[in-house]
Amino acid sequence: MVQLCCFLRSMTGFCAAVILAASLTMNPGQAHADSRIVEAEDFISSLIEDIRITVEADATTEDEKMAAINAIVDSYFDVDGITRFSAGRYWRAASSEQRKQYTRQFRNVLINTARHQFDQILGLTFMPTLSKVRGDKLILVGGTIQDSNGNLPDVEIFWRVSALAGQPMRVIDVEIENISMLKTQRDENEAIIRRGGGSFDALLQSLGERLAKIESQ
Amino acid sequence: MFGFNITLRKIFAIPLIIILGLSSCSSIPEGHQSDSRDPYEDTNRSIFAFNLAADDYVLEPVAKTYRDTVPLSAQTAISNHVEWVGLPSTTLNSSLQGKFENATLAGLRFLVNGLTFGLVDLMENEDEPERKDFGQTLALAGVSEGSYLMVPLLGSHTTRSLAGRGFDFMFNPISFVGGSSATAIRTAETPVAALTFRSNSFDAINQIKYNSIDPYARTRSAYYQRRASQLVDIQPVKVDEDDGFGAFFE
Repeated sequence: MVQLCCFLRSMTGFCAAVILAASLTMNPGQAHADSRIVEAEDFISSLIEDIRITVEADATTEDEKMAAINAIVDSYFDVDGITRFSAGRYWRAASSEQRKQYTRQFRNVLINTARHQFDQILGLTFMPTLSKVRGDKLILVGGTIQDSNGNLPDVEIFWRVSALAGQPMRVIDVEIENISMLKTQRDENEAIIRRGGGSFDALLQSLGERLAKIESQ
Repeated sequence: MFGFNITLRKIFAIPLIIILGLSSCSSIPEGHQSDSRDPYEDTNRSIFAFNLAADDYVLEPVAKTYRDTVPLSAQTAISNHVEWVGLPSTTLNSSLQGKFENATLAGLRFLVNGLTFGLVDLMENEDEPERKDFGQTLALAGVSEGSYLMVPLLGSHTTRSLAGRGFDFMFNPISFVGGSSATAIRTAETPVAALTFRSNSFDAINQIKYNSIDPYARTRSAYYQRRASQLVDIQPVKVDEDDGFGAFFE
């Protein structure tokens, strides 16, 4: 992982130098797009480094670890946007009280998922391959996750980063092998609501049961 | 030849039974389905429950043992063989789809790796062909994708992809070899392919199985997204410039 971070830093440094030189001849729009890509790649490498520090930190209590995970999630992810999008079209129809309850429950699920996923990154390295600009709001930071032990096949991953003008970058989705985690979550949530006769409460109840199960483990 | 005919009959019979079986089930009225592409949702969910039980009792424990005990080199050899078996179908479908470079790559790889029965990838450092199936070829020919089908032990399909799978299975090179050894290999191939897939996707499948509220809906969503990426050069999906995430910023 140290090698990964060194590589990411050297790559981003190299890219920054190349962009600086190339911008003398490139059109301004192209140079701007490239600088946004570099910024997004830096953002993701910083996220991965922070996760690694949190996971590897010794002598921390459970509360301290959870606080660190909460801090990472809040600093790097657009939690509010992810929450809204994950409820699909039913978000608009939900009452204020239902939205509050869903936001609270979904955050708990998100933090528990993050905690589980973060623990799994030890031994894995992220090698950036191809990043792409999507419109004026999104950047896809692409790369491959490799198992340094060679036990797992390489996995293609894209971090979908929101890059709205004047706002800090935030991760809104992770796409693994062409499967968007956020779209999958939204489809699951919408299916639960539809199976529950279109009631948002059906989703709240299912989430509550899921959380109770997680807490009992 | 006799063995080949028997195999053909089996190949056509299985999807036919499943499709006819499903069409005799009453479909869910529109508006009550959790996805408009899934009119047989209740039946599909029952089959999914069966598949999950099969995974609980057989596939997951066997895959775990396989991962833990079989040497990595042997696992790689088995994965290579499973991939090699699909190369004739990729060659044919690439040609039918006009992707002649891919067809050449697949054909060449099949011939070269055939020297080791596909167990060793002798073209490891060469360009890899993209896997192409008859479901994609049918899509290119304008055949609609049909309904979502959960198939016993085979998992997620659409009517079109299931029909394509049956066709692709006919081009298994072992089908053209006679003798008891070939029959034994042919019989073992489907379970071995399932085991390899389960083993290679062990954590991803367990993530869906154990950490979802509705594993069925999640599996269906993942299947459609993955299939769309395989069909992207045949049926380009029109997405907004925000990559289908326009609603995120509203």
